[in-house]
Amino acid sequence: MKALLIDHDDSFTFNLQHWLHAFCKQVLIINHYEITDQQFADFDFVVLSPGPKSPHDYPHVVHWLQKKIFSKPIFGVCLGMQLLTIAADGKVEPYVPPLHGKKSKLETNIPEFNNLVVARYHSLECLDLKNFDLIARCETTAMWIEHKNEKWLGVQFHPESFMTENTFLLQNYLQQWIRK
Amino acid sequence: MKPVICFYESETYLYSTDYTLLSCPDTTSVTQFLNDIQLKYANFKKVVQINFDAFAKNPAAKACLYKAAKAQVYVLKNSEVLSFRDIQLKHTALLRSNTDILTAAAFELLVSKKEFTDNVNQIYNWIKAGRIYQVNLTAAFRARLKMDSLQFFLMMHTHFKGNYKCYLPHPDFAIISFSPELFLAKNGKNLVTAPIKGSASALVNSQVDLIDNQKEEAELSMIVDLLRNDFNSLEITNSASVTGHRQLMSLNYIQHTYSEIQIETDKSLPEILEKLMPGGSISGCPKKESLEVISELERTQRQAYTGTIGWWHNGDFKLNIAIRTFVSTEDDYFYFAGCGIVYDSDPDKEFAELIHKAGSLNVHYE
Repeated sequence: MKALLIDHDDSFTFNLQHWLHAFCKQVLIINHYEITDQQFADFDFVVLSPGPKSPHDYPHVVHWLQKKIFSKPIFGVCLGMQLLTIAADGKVEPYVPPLHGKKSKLETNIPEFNNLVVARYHSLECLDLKNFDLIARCETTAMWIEHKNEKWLGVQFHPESFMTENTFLLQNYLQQWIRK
Repeated sequence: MKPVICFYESETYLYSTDYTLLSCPDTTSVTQFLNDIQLKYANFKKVVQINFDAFAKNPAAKACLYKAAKAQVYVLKNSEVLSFRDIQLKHTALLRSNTDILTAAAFELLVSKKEFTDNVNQIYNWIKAGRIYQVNLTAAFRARLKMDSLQFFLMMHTHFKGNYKCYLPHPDFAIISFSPELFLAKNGKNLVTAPIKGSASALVNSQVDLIDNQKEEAELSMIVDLLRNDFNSLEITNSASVTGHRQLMSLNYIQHTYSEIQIETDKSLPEILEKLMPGGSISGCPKKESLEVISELERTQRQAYTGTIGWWHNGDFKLNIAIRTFVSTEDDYFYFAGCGIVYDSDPDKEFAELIHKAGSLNVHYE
């Protein structure tokens, strides 16, 4: 598989690239500013990286999502999930207290992921997720969502962090989801 | 000629009085400067010093505390490997001074307590808004002191514990580092880094204040992910691995936690530094945005402080993060300290940590 990884000037993008290499032959990284000029035909899926600031600071990426230029799967991590949320009429608001470099257990109906320890780096949370199915949460906040109509999957946690346990389960899940 | 002294293997130092000092011209990129030296002086032992923002594309146009090039390399024509005791014996005259530096030199903090804690609060607000997760905020101290810089290095040596100490003379200034932090070591293909995050006074119970403390754990964990990322940027097929996490380091007056990350790479020193500088532990996370914050909030350029210093020989090298570092000029001694600011940082506690990092120096602030 070939992935296109959109980098939002983050410091975890290369970790995500190496994480994706578990099942991708090639992972090309481009900066978010290059999204408007990019050709997408070669790629099996697109990944939206984590990053600083809020999804409202990346209107060109939200616009790109809303125009539905890329019809194949899109996977968003952290800020990436927040961008999917904004593009699908959800809200992103401050999450108090912010959690950075901390670990939590997922709560989900999928047995193999329930209680999985994941790394969190976020100051904001996704709300008003009427166009998404909620796959997992921590406390009351959304951690893992899938769009009801579009082929969009988002995680608020960081699967590529060294703190996330048994991350191969997540790599397998994503790979199967893309092929589904 | 004043000697250049640099940490080496197992508590010994490289010591040389027969060297050529090369400074990176303003108009040359540091990568180009280092590449040329690599070609021309591969077989020579070298001591390298590179400023915090030496690789920045648009370095901050801020006041400098002293005038210096963005990078310097000492090419050693002859050198010895000495113990600290051997070095003392070469300079016994300097050790006979009766001056008690710690009382003679009053180090004045160049920002007020209010300005520092206001900046911590500003960072707190930016973290809440999602701008960044962590920023390393630093400040400078100045003492009006006329003293031989080599004498200062020799006399202050016992006050700071650390494996990466060095003394770098220059006609206009000297850099004196008592760093405990390894930035990068390369041996063959193996590249290793050992970032420090998390600090507590040596007087407290490290189990409670460091190991079981979630704030200190998060501060280090995010820097580990950041350095994994920087290492992973060097290679496609080899990935970085965390080979140690949250180990305790006890220094004279302070204790820290540190981790260790490794990767196999064929890349050379100039290529590696271009991708990895400045170090993650002294910038913040995400790095690019935290460098913007540092540039907005800190008053003066960091220059050598939080840059890197170490030795380079053929393909191998060992470089520190230049913390616990002094710069002496004709009339002044500068010292620098800083702390990692995260969401749960308390401004007063961070200020106390800043002062604590000055160790036994006689520190004044407003």
